[in-house]
Amino acid sequence: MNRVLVWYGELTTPGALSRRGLLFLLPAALWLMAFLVLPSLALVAVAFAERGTYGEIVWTFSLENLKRLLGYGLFGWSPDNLLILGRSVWVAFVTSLIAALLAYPLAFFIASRPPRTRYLWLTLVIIPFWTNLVIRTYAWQLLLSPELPFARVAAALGLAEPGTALYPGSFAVYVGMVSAFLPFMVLPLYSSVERIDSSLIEAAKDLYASRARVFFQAILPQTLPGLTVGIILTFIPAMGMFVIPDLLGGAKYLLVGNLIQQQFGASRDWPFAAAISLGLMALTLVALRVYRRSGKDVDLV
Amino acid sequence: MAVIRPSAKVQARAATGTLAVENVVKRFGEVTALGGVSLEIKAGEFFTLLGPSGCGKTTLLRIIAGFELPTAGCVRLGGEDITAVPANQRPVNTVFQSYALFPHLSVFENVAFGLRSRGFPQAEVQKRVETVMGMLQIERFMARYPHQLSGGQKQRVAMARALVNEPQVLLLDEPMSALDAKLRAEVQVGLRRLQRSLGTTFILVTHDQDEAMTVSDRIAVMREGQVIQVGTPEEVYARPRTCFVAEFLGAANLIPASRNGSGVKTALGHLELPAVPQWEEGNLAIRPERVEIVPEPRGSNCVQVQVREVVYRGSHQEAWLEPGGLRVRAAPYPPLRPGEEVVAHLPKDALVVLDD
Repeated sequence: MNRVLVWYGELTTPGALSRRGLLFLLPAALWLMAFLVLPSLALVAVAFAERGTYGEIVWTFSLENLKRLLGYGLFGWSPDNLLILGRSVWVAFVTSLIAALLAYPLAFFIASRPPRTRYLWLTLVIIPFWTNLVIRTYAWQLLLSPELPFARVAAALGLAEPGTALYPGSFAVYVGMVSAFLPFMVLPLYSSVERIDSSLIEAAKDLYASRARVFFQAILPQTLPGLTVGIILTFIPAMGMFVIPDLLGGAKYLLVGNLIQQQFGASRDWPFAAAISLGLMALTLVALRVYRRSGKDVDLV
Repeated sequence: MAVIRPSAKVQARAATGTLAVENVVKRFGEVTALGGVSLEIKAGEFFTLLGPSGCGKTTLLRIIAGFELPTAGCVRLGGEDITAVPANQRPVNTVFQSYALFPHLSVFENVAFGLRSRGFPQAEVQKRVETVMGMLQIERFMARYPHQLSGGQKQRVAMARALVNEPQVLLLDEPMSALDAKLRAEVQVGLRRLQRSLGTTFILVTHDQDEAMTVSDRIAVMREGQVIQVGTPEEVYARPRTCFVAEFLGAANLIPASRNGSGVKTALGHLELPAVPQWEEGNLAIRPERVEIVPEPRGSNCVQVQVREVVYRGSHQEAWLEPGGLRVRAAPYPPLRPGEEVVAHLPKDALVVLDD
């Protein structure tokens, strides 16, 4: 049956409309196919293959890599890999949390500037992106070196041995991570803070709310969209980060990103590396799912 | 509108203090929003701040609410200086222009917000919220969220949210500007009844003179950061002190005049006045409905005029008379006709001598 309809002033048929729709979708679909679906499938395939003697991929089906990821190695079970995965989730979580805590005052500060200088402050937030992450991370090595004020103050307060650098270690990793991801948190949060309806804040104050109650009832719900984007933009890349833990954490603070890098690189064990990557992907999806679920009805004070 | 049964507690509290605003000045950088305002608002009064946008009325309300600190001057409630008391510690609540309902909370939780802030026990919260919701007839929206309400319903929820705290003073920042004209008229009458039965001091900010006349015990007319005149609706309407007040509240004929013996000389000729003006040259005002069309001149203040234009309005007719562009509002019968020669009588007691 040839049904005819009017679509935004154009006389057409349902068939012609859906054909045109598919045509418009095609480039995006091809793009996703080439750069997301196919590589992911390849990764899954490799994860179930085996490593040859010289690091080549041997295409025999095996669950060995997944077992290794869960800790069953040649010498019995060890928690190392799971520890590294768990630590990565923890570091990503703490990084997101600290970045969010720092981003709120910063976003409010920028939003309260007069419009002309506001863009100057935003530019200052973005400027670190002009320098490569590796260079910024090396810069932290310099800043945390024994002769400079940070280390001296820490030594004077008894927080570190005098004459030692503040890296490698977990502290340096957090410093590096938070400074690298802060802009990803500030920018989306700022876009929410800028649009905030201040009458809700005044209403909360008018209704006897304490400072905490004003924040949780009037500010947080309004900035939740920006915060959500900021957390996703921080948490996911932080889970897979390897440059910062490599340069600032050393062997003391291995994260899953370093593990994958080692396996793909020095160890030449692509199948195991692929298995770890799958594990990381699974963890990320689980984390996002948990976050979305709890974010839907955020329990507030 | 709602049948209102105020609790005994509410009535007992009606006799609380006077709100006094003393020489309040507010400057934002170079701009002076309030240039030394003093007002005394009695307990239980329905007081309106009326003026065009930018006259400082909202700034004054925000200072009373505690959202702004005045540059100089003070605010007293029951004799106590509350100028520096933060908003969340004042016995004053606000109904915001945008209503500012919390979008993530149900109607019940919105209304309960102030009580929960102050840590009332659940049973007390439940009881008080239900009472005030019954009073404003919004019980059936209890479980809804603000985005599911119409403008009029939101307005009532905002009222309930403020009143549940039993404030000494309720501040209303143009609470009806988002409602359509018919609903607004209904809400105005309801608001006045509510205020009468509660006995709470209400301070309303509006730019709508009809609204101000409908609800207020007293009106303060504001302009450019100054209070120009304070009085009952009758006083302000019938005895405006300046050209601005005369024109802002309803329609007025302003007649430039210069002193001439006991009366004044105007474009309409010599007019007798109820009082001798203080100035040599100034203005008179007369309301269009006070100008009378009479068959023939009798006594003073009668002027031979020609009808220039007539507008039929159903309940009355409006006409413009020459000379002087005098506007007149008369009964629709007998109809006036353009070009007709008539006699206008400007009764002596209807003429108001303005200060400027």
